[in-house]
Amino acid sequence: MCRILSYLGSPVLLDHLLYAPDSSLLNQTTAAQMLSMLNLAGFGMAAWDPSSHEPHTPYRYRTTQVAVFDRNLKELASKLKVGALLSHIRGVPMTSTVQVNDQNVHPFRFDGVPLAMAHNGDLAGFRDMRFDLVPHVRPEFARAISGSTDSEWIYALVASALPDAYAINSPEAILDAIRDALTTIRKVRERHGITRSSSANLIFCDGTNLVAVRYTFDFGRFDVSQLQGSADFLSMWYTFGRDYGLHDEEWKLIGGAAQANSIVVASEPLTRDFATWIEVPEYSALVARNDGSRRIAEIHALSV
Amino acid sequence: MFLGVFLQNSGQLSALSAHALAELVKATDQFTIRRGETLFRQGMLADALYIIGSGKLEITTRTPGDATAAVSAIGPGEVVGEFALLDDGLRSANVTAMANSKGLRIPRERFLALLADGKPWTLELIDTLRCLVASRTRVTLERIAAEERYDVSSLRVPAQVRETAMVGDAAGLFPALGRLAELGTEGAAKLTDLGTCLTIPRGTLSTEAASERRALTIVLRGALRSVLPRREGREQIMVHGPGEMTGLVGLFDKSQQSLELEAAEDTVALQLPQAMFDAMRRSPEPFALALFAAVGRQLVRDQRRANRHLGRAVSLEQFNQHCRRSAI
Repeated sequence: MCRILSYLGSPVLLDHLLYAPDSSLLNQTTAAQMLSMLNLAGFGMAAWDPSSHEPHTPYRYRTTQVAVFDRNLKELASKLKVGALLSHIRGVPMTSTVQVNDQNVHPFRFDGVPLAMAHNGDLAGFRDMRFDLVPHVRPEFARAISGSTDSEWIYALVASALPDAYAINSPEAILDAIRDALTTIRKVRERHGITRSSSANLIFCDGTNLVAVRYTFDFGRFDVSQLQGSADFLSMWYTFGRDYGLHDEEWKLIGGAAQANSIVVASEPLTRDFATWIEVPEYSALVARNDGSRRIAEIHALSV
Repeated sequence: MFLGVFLQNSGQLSALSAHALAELVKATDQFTIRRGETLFRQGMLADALYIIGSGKLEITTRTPGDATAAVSAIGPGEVVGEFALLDDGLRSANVTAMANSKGLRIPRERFLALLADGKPWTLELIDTLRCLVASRTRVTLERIAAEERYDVSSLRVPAQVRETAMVGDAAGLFPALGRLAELGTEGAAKLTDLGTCLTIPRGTLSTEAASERRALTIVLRGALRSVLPRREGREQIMVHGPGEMTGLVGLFDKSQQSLELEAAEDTVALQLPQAMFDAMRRSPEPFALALFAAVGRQLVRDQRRANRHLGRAVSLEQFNQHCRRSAI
């Protein structure tokens, strides 16, 4: 399992998102609050800096190191201000069959495609079912898949279902593509007789829109000996406000909902005190979009 | 003893017998709080139940953007912090004195020790608290139903009611359900004997809800979704995974269920009819105690989720209203 952190709003110092809070993404490497697992298999991010050259193209960073030891990332985070962020730490089973390499680090983003994606969860039986996904992936994206994860295939399915993968799509078009991809996966699972609970918590960001999906295939279905991870829906939380920073000795967004223009969505709250955080509902997507000077947030059901 | 007589005639604990009230008062400490002081904060360890004797307190919660939302004001005869005796979660709200107030306080650890000793009044009290939480959830669900701020896109096309089938070895699924671990192998077998085991295909509207019969439904595998019927379809309120129970509000207040049940996934569930549920509510048998400890936790969980659902709808509306104003 993994942890994801995303942000859309007024520019904030990257350090304040990745490092500073008491349960920051990097602290979740070894001490996640809502996951009893280590996340040691790499860190990656796509960070949109509105003041940078080509602001619609994100700064990308990935490493297979344990990021808490990465001095370069720490230095970078103390300088870069981001208006949008999609970051991820990878957690994998502790077995030699897992491939820990650069190609498997999230978020995924094919060349020229603005939309990036990070995944928390895993698809049971993926090695058997992946070949049946090929007809649903555009040839250029099938060729672009370079890693061995189920996540990259989910990304390829969504990118293939977008009306124009090489442009910024509307949130509705992104949601339709996500529904399309989830429906394809559900059908292929059925064809292969795969019924084990499989989580697909996904966050997509293109610097303009953010779509956070909390979804599980066959939630609660398990073999008697393998309930682990199936009794609780994998978590995803969000909060919003006007000014993100250290207020009253606590990292939080302040300013009230009525004055809010920034939103944080993450696998779990960034602070031990999560009174101001709300869960994304199960089988749903949270959509946050920039619309001119406006920012809109909505919950959409995903009954696929 | 000043509060014992008062509670007998009014307030949220008036359903307790005179004996239970007297024993409760004996087990409590007195507390006083001055205007402006905080009784407890959201996120703190829930360590006691409070019974208000005099004064007035305000219940508030923190919301996104670090704002504070007033939930309600409470006064003499009312209780606050009852989750502390039902589960081990954190406080879900702040409670602050609006006037100098005093009353009684029973610490969680003391109450649980008395409950473990089998004191009959503790069974009465905890059953009363479960009823209280169920009634609070009923009120929250009514508020959600009254809100016109639900997400249009969360409405689904009506699912069809289909026949469900009995399955055999339900007891074999229990060992994997952490939430019902207290039942043990023997308890699981007994519960399975008492109930009816069903398989419910994904998308099916539960026959229990459709026929308006009340029953305790325990999810053994898969997931059920509690939905609120809307004109255009249904709104998802909460999802119940393995080891969770549904239908509790109607079982406690014996009114029509306000939510319908739909299978979110292919589901195996165990159903116990209302009569059997009622027979076990105040039973001192270890099996019933274990089952109803899980019922108490589920009630708290459902109340938290209903509140969260309401808070989510309200705060998103505020967020979007501001954005609309900014654009004008």
